Amino acid sequence: MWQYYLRLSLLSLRKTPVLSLLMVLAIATGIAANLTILTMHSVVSSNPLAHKNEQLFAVQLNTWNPAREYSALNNLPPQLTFKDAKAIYDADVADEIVVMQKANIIIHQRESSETPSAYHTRMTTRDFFSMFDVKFIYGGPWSKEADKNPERVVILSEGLNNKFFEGVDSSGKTIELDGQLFTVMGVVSEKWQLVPNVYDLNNLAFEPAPDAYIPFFLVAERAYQNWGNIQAWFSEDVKSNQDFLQSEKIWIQAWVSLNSADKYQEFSHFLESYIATQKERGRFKRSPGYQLNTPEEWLDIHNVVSTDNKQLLMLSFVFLIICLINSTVLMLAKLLRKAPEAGIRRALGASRSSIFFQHLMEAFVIGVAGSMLGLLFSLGGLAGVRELYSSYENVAVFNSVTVMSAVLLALAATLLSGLLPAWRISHAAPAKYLKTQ
Amino acid sequence: MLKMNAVRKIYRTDMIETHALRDFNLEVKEGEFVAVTGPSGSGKTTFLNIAGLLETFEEGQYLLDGNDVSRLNDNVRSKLRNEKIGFIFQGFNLISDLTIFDNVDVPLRYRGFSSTERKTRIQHALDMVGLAARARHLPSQLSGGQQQRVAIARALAGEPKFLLADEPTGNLDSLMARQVMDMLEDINKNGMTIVMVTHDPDLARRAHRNIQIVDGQVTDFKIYESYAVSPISGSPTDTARRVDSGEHMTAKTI
Repeated sequence: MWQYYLRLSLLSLRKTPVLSLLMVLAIATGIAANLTILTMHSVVSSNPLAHKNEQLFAVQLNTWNPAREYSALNNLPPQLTFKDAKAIYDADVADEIVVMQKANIIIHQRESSETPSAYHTRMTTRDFFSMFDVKFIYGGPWSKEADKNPERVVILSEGLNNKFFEGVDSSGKTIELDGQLFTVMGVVSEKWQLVPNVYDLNNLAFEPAPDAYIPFFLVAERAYQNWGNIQAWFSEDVKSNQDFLQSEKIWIQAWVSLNSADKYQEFSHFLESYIATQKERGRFKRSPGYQLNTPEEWLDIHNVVSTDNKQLLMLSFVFLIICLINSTVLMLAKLLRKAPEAGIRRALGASRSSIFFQHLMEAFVIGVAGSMLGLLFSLGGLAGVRELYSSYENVAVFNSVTVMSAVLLALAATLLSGLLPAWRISHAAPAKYLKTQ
Repeated sequence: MLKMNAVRKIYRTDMIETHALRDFNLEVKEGEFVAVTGPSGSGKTTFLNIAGLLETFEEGQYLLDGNDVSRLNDNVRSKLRNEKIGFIFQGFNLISDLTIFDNVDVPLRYRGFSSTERKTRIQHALDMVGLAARARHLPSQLSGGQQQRVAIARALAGEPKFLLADEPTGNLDSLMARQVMDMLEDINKNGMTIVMVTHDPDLARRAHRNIQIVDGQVTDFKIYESYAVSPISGSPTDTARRVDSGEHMTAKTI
């Protein structure tokens, strides 16, 4: 029967094209607004490290001003000083450890026609690549040795490799970073991108993945231009790179992987012991002295999903409901005009359920048309977001969650906008209309 | 075929209670052609709607084809309506967006016939009313008489056991009305039970029996000669034998 109902629905829609178009537009507008915001929200609020939520921890050490607490986030500084970062790295207690900073480095390849330019480079340790599931298309991470005794090795993004090496495997080739020759160890797939960038929420949470990666401890050799945040709670006389490294300035992000409860305990004890030692030297005067945060907690602390974002999502649902109510009212008007026909059908043997499903099919057709149009509109909406906010370039795109949402919204929209009219017409007394035809 | 015992139907609004049928008793035998007359608002259409299972009633009993259908749920009533009852209306009640073919198809769809079965039945029904060549036309492309013939084809396509006609000629000129009545008579001669509501005494005279409804009750009978000698009625009743053509009899004398 559903094919018959579908045919009748299409016939009915053709009979009232303007009214049908209005209903489709009402649903499409509501779905487009909702879907655009839902897409943004679903991506922004996702935790790309959910599968490692129990084993990865962002490390916070409270080296801040004894007289006044850190005034943002969870009242603990989000970054570490160099000496603390090096201490926890050298202790080698965690299963994996990453200390890193975002740097701005001039990259140039002599054989390439590309002019030297500054690129977003992550100075990090080897474990970064396994900890954050980095995908390589060529080569792989550098060795642990290259961290401890920093070697001039680099890992390029696929984009940079395409630019300087025309997309071929550049492993083993050399490239200049800030005028020094580095050997390429591997190339990271352009498909790898954590959204949000959980590993460094001090900077833009939704910026593209780095262009290049080099060993963190190269910072001990010379000063690389930091492209992130450097914070200090008192003024220090910094004349050299060594002064900077020994200062109380915080600028390093640190993550550890602790694969068991025992390991967590061991690392916590290490930090407590380290802090106790440092207290004797006049540091770590605030309490608590440290905090380990799961990726989910880290996202919460950094308020990645802002209150505005949540309110916007709620508003979009309210807007969708208003659009659906409009559509329902139009549908009701349209279907009640067809009550005499329903009366004839009832007289000829149609049950209430037959009439209900026939008209629900009509609502379904309108709902599907509205949803498809809504999907197109939301493509435009997301393009608009990308145009307006460049930092959302990698975020404002459809994904499987979005498409699934579209399908679910279509079904919900259909049911919501069609249920009442279909129920009303199926319960109209048929005899009333048979005389008035 | 159809038997109503002490049926009571009340329409209620916030302020008014209208007794459309009260202590309504009627029996229509298989193969009969019964005309129902009465003044406007007397309850003719209410009777027809109840007989056609389109409306429920408060009290009494309704036996259709030997089965008590007084308190059935909507699905069963719809199924019975589809299988056993054909409707013909004054305003034809064709669905204007559907072709003649699709209009006749409507009751067959709800019966669940296969596509081939439906096609055969539609073709046959349209042949019977002489409109097979107009199958792809829309109702608006036909005359009133032709539209009523389509309605008859639609009513008969499912081979119901009895036909309910509500002023079937009310919207037709006299020539077309005569054609439609001829057709109904032919259908009745082929064994179909017909109950027809009409205001026209000439049309009522062409039925076997005329039942008059006043204030929601059967008040008067007339049995016509055609019924007394009708081969369909089987052995004529004693009452029928006493009747001359058009003899006036009351419910009490019967």
